[in-house]
Amino acid sequence: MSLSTMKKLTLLSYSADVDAIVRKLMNLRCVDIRPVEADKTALVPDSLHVEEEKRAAEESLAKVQAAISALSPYSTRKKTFGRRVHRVDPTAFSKQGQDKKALSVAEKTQATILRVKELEEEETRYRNFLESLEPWLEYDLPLDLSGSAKTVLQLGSFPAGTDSVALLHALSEEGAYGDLVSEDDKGLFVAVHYFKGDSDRLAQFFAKQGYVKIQFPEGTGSPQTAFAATEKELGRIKEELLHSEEALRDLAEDLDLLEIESDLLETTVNACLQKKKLLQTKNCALLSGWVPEVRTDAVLDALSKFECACDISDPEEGEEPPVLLHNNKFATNFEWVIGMYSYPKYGAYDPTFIMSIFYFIIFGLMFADVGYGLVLTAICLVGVKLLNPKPNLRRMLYMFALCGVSCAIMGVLFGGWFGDLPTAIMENLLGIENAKEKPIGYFFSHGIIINPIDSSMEFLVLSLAVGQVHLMAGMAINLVETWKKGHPIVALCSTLPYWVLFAGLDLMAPNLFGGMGMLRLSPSPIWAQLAGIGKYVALAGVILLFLLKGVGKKGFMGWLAGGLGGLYSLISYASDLLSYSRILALGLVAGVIAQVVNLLTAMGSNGVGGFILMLIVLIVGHVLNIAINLLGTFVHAARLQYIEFFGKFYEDGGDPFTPAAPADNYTEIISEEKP
Amino acid sequence: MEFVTSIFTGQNLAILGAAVATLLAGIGSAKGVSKVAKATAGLISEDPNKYGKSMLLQALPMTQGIYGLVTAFMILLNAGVMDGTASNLSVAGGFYFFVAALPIAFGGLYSAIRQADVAAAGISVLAKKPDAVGKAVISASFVELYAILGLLISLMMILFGNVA
Repeated sequence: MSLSTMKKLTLLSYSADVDAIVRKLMNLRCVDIRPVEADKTALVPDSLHVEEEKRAAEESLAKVQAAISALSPYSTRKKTFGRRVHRVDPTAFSKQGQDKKALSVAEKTQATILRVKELEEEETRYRNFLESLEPWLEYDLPLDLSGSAKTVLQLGSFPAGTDSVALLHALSEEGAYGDLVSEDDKGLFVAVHYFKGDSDRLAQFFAKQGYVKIQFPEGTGSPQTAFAATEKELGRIKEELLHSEEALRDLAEDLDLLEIESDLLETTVNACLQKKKLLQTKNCALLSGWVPEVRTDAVLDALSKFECACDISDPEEGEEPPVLLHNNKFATNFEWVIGMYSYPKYGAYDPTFIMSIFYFIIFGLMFADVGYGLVLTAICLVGVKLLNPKPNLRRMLYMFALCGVSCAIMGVLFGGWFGDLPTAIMENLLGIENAKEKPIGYFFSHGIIINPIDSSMEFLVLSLAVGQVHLMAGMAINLVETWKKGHPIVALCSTLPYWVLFAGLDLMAPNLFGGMGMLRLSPSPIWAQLAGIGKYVALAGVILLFLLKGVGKKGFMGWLAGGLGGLYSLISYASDLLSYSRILALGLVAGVIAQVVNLLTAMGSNGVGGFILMLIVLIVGHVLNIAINLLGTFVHAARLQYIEFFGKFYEDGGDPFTPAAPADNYTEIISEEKP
Repeated sequence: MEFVTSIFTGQNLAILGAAVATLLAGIGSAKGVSKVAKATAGLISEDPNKYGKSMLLQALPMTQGIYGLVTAFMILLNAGVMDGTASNLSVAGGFYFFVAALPIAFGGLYSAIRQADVAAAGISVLAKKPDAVGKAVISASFVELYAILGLLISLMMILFGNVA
């Protein structure tokens, strides 16, 4: 409902205590530490060791995180979808030497992973060698023999498809002897013997025939022994790989430790970042930050254990404290919608609660369907259960769960049950004709108020009415806020004329819409009478607007300009109001697509196969419809808040309150060190 | 002349409307999705892990095609093509359905392509500032409103038209 009052914390302590103090404040999660602005030239800042500490922690953190991702596939822990949370006491953890153990596990993992990579590379190398040996298995000379004093022995391959008989014949014509060792689809593998003197001539012949020389490394020996030796090596590698995998599996037993250590290291990095904001000399340190007023006692209590001087003060003139929204359980879940736009300025009005009510209603109107609403709520609640998400995501899921409830309520009011599924079933499966007019079918298809598809004009009027209430609420907030700032007359003058105008238009509405045939109520003579009065009320509103809008401005020209500006603003109010017709647009689209899905389903053929096909069409269609419309509904419900509602009063630009806190990716701190 | 009148029957005009709604909105979606998907290819060549987050942006311009399909379906149904009564449809009645298809046909065509421009820009947001991708999605979904409005009017014309 309101913004938390902030107090400024200034603290002077011994340098030796800085780490303990910062960590203590982080555990409290209620101090937004800010950089100290002071004349640094007068002091000798000393923060090199913090830099050093941060670098070391970051290095270890990278190692631990790499180990976590490498070991996760080997873990035998029960699988979860979401965040795994260990409850941990950091002091006890390090006292038991668990942190050292975790680091050593991380290092061992790193070494093992490195070794596995080496082995895998070696394995590929041996496999390639084995492949190159295969064509030569029938060859009975050592593979690395390259001839005698006068002759050359050259191994190599001719392209596949070469005629071997012709080739050997051609070789002997060139004065060489070819020994065809093997032949496959990769080529002809031939050992060629020739005199050293014939080298040049044969080189030409080889080039022409596409001969590729093959050279085995020194010491290869006969193909059979080389093959056996390589196979043996491969066996050894395989065994070692199995060992490594075993080792990784063993190391994965300590995954919990690694996860805890990862969070602790991240907390250290974070603490270093916080410490860098302090003004620190060799002996003492100055800390400055913001604390919500309600938590100042807790902070002072925690600090009393240290030798330090601290001071809690009000924000000074020109200082802009951070903004922490404080709302009830319902509205808290909608805070992030505000966060996506911009937080209100410190000291301004926090509209979260009122906005959350309108968001709830408008979301429901845009997606009025009992089935879809309950599906949405169920998905979100199951999501919270399975994912065990951090607070921000948790609130977002709760918000959509609440919006699902709103959809369900609106679905009852406006007759949406997976579109027109109940009447579609009655007509197609139960064979009841004209089901919409039967009592039960009437309830399901018409809802309690109207069905937007059959009575879309009435629903348009309803959308605009919601818009009018929404806009008037925004103006009312503006009225109160301006009044509170000490301008009651300006506040009244810039709001009331619009309301008089609205009242006039409302009186005219039944006659206007009824006359256009938009309302299916039977016209009543009172409508015309109301419209007669409304005409004058609306006119009075316009005149009042011109007369009063400029009140408070300087001089006659200021007043006149204000009044004309007021008249001009009617255009933007009209467009604001019409903007609410998107409620009808989104509501109808969801409903009509649902009907089409039900129609498609009803076209399914008979028999078991047909029934299953129908079921698939039904489920896929409705899931698709939810997916398409959910995003649109979320965005446009938010837009109506941001542009139309906030435009009437909102002062944005607040700096969100971000307290220093320990990392919570895997852990939850259970206890402070006991005294 | 007889040839022309035999082609432009009420039923054929209504079917033409259904075809135009599916075609144009479908072309828009196909072009839009491919545009965003191409931008995504650049992203995943750098960082394949972001593919999941990019899917929503890729899927955004798909909806116009679905809207076209829904419209076409409603035309086929209301013009009586499904139950075989469409042969009784007058030429003017068929033309009415053809015109009713136009808002979503052109609204879908243009908004899908323009939405894809915004979504493709969102892909580069995803590359540089992954945390802000939600805002890029929201920007892109604003463009969608005009396809929704086109669909709304097309559907209202189809549903409430008193056509003999």
